[in-house]
Amino acid sequence: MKISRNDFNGTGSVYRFTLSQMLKGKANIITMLIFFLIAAASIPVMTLVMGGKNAASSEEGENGAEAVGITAMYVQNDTGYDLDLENIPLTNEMFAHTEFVDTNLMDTSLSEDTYASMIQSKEAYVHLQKDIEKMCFTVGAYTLEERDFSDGDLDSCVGALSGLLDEARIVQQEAESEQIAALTDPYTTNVQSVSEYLEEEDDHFSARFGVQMIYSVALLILCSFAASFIIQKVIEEKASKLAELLMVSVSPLAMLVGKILAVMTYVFGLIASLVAVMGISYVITGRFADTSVVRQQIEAAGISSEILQISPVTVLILVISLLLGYLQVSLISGLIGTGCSTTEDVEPANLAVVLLVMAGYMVATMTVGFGDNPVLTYVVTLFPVASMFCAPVRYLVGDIGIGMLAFSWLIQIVVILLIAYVCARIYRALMMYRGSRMKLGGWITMFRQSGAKEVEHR
Amino acid sequence: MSLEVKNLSKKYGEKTVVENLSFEMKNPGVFALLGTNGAGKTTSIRMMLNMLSRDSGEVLWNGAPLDTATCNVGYLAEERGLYPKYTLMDQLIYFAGLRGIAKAEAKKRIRYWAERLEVEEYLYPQAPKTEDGKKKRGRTKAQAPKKADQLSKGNQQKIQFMTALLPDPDLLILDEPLSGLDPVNSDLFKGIIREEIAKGKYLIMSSHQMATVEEFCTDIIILNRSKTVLKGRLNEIKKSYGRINLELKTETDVTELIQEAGLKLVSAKESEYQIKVSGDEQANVFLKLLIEKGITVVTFSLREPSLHEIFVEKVGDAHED
Repeated sequence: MKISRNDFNGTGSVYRFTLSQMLKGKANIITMLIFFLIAAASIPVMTLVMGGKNAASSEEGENGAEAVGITAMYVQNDTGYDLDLENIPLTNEMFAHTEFVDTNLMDTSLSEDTYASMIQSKEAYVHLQKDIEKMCFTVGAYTLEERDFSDGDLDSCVGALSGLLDEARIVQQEAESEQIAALTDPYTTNVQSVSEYLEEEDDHFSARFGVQMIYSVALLILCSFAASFIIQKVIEEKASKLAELLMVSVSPLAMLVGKILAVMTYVFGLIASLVAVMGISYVITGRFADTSVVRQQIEAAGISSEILQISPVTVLILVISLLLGYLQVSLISGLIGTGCSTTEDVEPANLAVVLLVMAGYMVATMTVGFGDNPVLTYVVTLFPVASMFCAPVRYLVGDIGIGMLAFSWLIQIVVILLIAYVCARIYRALMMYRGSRMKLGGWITMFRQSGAKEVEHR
Repeated sequence: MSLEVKNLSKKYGEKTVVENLSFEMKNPGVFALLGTNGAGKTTSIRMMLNMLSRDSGEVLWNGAPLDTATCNVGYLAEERGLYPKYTLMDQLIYFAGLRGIAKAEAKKRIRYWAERLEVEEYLYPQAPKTEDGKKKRGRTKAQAPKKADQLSKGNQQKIQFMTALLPDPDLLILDEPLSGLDPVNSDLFKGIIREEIAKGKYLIMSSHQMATVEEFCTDIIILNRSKTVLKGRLNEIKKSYGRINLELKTETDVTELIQEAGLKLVSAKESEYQIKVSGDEQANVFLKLLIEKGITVVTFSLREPSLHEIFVEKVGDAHED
């Protein structure tokens, strides 16, 4: 069975007609309006619920402060460099009321209560370390959860210590090439409460799970929409006895492809429009309230831009992954829908596709916590259906590299081509099929028969 | 232009539904595909149009395999279908678009066929007029574009016929075109079919209405249980049977005389008789007998068998076999 260019003649007409009828459909118009309203209202409602005004006022106060509000900084210096901590308040007026104290009390084995008894709400611990493995310096600042100073104050103190460390590195190293590299090694800054410091591992899991959930739910919604629309459109034509009228003008494959593209445009267009509406809503709400609380709340759930590695490349990766997932589900939906003859079959056909997609979703969410198991990671990344949920997320959270992601995409493309091949071979016969909803055995028989006829014709 | 159907066959499992169907149309005209229910007519048409796969055989248009690229085909399917919830105009423009007809041209053609098929009121709804003859302002329900499910079955059939005619096809395939139509609409369809014949189009018609087929068709093929039982030019087939139908009207009752002459009386009603004869010779002998007996003959008409009779005879024979 060869697929020729003629098989796609009329795809454009089918696409335009299907899309225009979807946009004209009253039910679709009402659904879109409801979605747009929800999207527009979501940002102001979230801002109000999360107390946006309080956040805005605290920020204003912070900008006006001259001296930092921290009375004592307990510094544990494990960098190997001598730091002149006492000199900081003398050289910078910002720290005139802050005492920098050398200490060696940082110990994760101590309980949160022990730490709470050791420091006050206007005090903080800072741990300076040299990470030999990562070739960097780490400045970790830890405070009580109920603290009486701002993030800005803490950042200023940490900045002062980082500067002091840089100075010490330059003083103690001679400027040879290797030493220059050592001097310019980057460092990362962690600002956490003590409890956050102790529960770091838990937060990491929450972040992974959050990212997987968000992507999986998005794909699940996309696939459910797509399956529902495509099955409905395909069965509509069969139930209205239009198959013959259409097939005299256009190939069945063009009919299916046109529909898939139309539904794709509709669903992706709807999502893009909703994102745009939310963006506009965010900007407008930002003029009246502090919308940063929304971001803070999302980050508090462990989903930060750092974890998502948001960039044009990651956006592209997500779009490609969504497209591949959509194409797999829509082709399967088209086939299952065409195996039905009456509108009564819409629901069971939908259910079959949704169950398949749900299986992928469940696998993705249940295995996300096992990032340290490479075999499981590779299986869920490469196995069809699960892969469309897992591959991009596992790449984003760093479980797999770009090569493995590309391999997963390749397998998904092969799956799409295989389903398209099955479509090309039996879709014409399926369009003419009348009877109860076709089961798996029926598909296989039809596929075999079409293969046998092909051989006979040769 | 020519159409050639060679050895089309189709099986579903062990059951043969079409067996070696072959025919040819070298000139424009109407070819009738006749047969009993389930004889394989619609399956044959679907195979010709590549909707169903063939087990064997080929269909050639001007020597090339028939498809939308080689032949401009119009098709009125036996299973009438339209999108029930979309407007008629949208659907017709879409169907025309699938045949490569630009929107503006499609609109022109739709206007033309809407007038011919008398469905303008559904495609171009007008505002109802007020008592003083002016059109009502604002869009009323009557002005809303009509959808297929708002039309009667007959009017839906007209719209479907329009979809077959829109591409101005060279080959027009009509599967039971007149079924379900009232006499007025039936005449309307017949008029259009006659015009298409006059334009030099190739028509294939499948129908159970023998009188209609006889009215249009030059060539026929009769299928029974997937097999071809009769094929050829209608005139020649009829001639081959000879004049075997005698219509007789007399002033007195001649029933006994008919029986004495060994003729088969088909029906009798107030001295009007339908009689089967073996041919011209037997009819002449009987006429001579009537005159000798002094019977006043009002009507004595000999004619060939109708297509209906040929069909019943052929299919009946096959059933007996």
